Amino acid sequence: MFDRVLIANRGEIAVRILRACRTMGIGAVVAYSEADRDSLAAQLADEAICIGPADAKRSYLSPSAIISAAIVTGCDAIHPGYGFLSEDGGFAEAVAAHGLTFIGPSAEVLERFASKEASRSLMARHGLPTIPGSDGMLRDDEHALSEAERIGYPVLIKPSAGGGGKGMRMVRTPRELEASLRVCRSEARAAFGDDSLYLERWLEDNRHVEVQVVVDRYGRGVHLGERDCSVQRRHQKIVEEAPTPALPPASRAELCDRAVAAVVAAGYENIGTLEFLVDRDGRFYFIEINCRIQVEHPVTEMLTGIDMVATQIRIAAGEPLGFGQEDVEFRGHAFEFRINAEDPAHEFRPQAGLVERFYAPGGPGVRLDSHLYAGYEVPSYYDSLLGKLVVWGPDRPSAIARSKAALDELVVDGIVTNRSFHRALLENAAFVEGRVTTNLIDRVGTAAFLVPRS
Amino acid sequence: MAAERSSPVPRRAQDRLDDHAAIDHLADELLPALVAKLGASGLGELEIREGAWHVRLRMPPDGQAAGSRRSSSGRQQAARPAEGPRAEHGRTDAPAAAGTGQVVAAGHGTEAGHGTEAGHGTEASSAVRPSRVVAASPAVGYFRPRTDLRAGTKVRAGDRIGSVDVLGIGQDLVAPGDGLIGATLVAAGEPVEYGQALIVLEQLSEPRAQALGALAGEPVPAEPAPAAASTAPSATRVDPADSAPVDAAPVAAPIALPAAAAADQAADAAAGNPAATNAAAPAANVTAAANAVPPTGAA
Repeated sequence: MFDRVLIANRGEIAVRILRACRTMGIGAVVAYSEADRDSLAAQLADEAICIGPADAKRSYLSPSAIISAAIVTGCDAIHPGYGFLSEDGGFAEAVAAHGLTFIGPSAEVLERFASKEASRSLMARHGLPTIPGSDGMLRDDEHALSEAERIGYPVLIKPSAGGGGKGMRMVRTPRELEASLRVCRSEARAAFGDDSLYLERWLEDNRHVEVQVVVDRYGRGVHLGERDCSVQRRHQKIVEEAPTPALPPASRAELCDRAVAAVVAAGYENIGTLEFLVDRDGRFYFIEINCRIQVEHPVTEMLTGIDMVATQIRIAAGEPLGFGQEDVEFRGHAFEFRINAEDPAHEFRPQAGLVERFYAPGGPGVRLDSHLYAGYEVPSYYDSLLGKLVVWGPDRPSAIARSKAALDELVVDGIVTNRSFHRALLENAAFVEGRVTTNLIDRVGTAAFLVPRS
Repeated sequence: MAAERSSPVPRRAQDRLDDHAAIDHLADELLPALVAKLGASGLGELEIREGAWHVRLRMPPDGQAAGSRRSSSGRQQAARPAEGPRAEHGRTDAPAAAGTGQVVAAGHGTEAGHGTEAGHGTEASSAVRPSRVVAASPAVGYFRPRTDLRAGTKVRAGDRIGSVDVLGIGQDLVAPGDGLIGATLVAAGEPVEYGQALIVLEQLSEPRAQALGALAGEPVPAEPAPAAASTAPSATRVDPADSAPVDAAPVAAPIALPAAAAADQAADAAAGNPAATNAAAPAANVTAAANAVPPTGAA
């Protein structure tokens, strides 16, 4: 096992990784940018080291700064968290070249799954259904138009790299396609440094369901069930839950079993998530794999009782998984609400500033993963995630009831959050009945989820 | 003068400007005079309020300032620019320098105590350095000072005065201004972090000497403001290599301007750092509670 891990991330996930290290008796060093000097993770760490200025390119996205920090602080492994360099094969390779362990899949595995389009065909070869899409990357506009014609409109333009909805657009006509290609290219280039795009057929009223897998170095893999992430705004997940209300138990079991079988056969290793779209008739289609710990992993932890970050660290250290599929039990129902520093009343504009008062809700089944504290200054340089309210109940209705109580208890003063949006969502009939599709919020409009502020 | 903090709306640009102006006023006019008063009075603590601001000055309980600290890896953290009052865990305090006073600037009722109480004797390490006198590390790695430079060597702004070895590649440490090489705060080959103060450049001018006198508790001239004000603009860049948007550093820097060099040396003396060539003569220890000052992110 590792002696000391460098946490090369920020915000709530840095705190989450730190907690896993603590429970495992591993020293935790937090690498921070100048904007995060006062962050909770830096304060809690065994040691904290400044790796660069606020600009992520020179801190959290700088492989040399991070590796150098790990070396000078005597770490033997680096945990990249999510985002930033977490799925960067080149970074994983550089970490290994300096005699350190990258906590995640090996560089070779990351390279194999780096392109969404390539992983789609790889997983198709291993028996997963995929959505009809373009034959490889779009070469030019002509190619895009002919491929869209072949697939059938509406189609979804997707960038090969990255995630989070950037560079992604649904188009219904050739004209819209032509107009959107340039926008998507420049968005993808700006966000991921890679402007290659591909097309997928758009499924009306689809649900986003993902399967959590864990595979050790020795090819032993289990799934930890699925999560439903259909509550999205502009392709950004807002609320996640498990199990999915979209599929009956038998279909869920089939989906998860097939996903883990395919990913093990394809030579995956470490923790990963396979994302699927589920259509109106309950058919599922593989869309991509995320080779990292995900924001919404606590939902799965609530159901299974498995510490996924600790499991990830153990696997990276070369330990065998130590449990089989038959050992994984799923209990009850869980939600995760992403508490973001954004204003629902003003187009979800990101907020920054001083947190004047902060109170975390509690009670049975309530967990808040957050880096907030009263007096914390939310910097404006990074994403707007302030924390994740995770609520478990023995069944879905009781989890919803607990979620309402917990959201009402949560206090974040001094900065506007999307708490009111979540609260309104919990009263929405489509949500309560488990009928939310990925396009619902954008179609209905967020105004429907606004409550007058007192 | 200060922003209305009870409102949940984000701070406006004008509020920020107002806060900056208020902090400049504090740093340039009030603090030197207050420090002198506190030093002369024999009081333990002094607090004043102005508008929504308050400033509290507190003598260390034992009449001494805390010294520097070392991280568990031996990385010296004593001399970073604009370090906030980050709590350190499991650190023990080094013996004290001949410090006499400690200044905490705070705004809007955000308790300054957050700064002082959270840091277990981190006052010296929290001392803020202005760019004009300290060359800060451009990267995280191992420090390699230029071996041909000695204390007293004259250097010009932009001269390479050392480097930081990042995975085998040296990143230049350049002089942030003209001056004489002073104390080297970190021994050759030691690990350093980004922004860590490495080499002091001596450039004591008349106004500075006067301000140091004021902080050391000597009688303060009636109007110390003009001198400090004239140096403030160049102090708003803490690290020459840092082109990123500013954080709390620019706000905090002017506050500590006069005492910086002294506190540097005090910290070194306290840490028993062999690289410190000069014992600390003037002995004020200044802390700016960087996270207690208003946000400056978008300024």
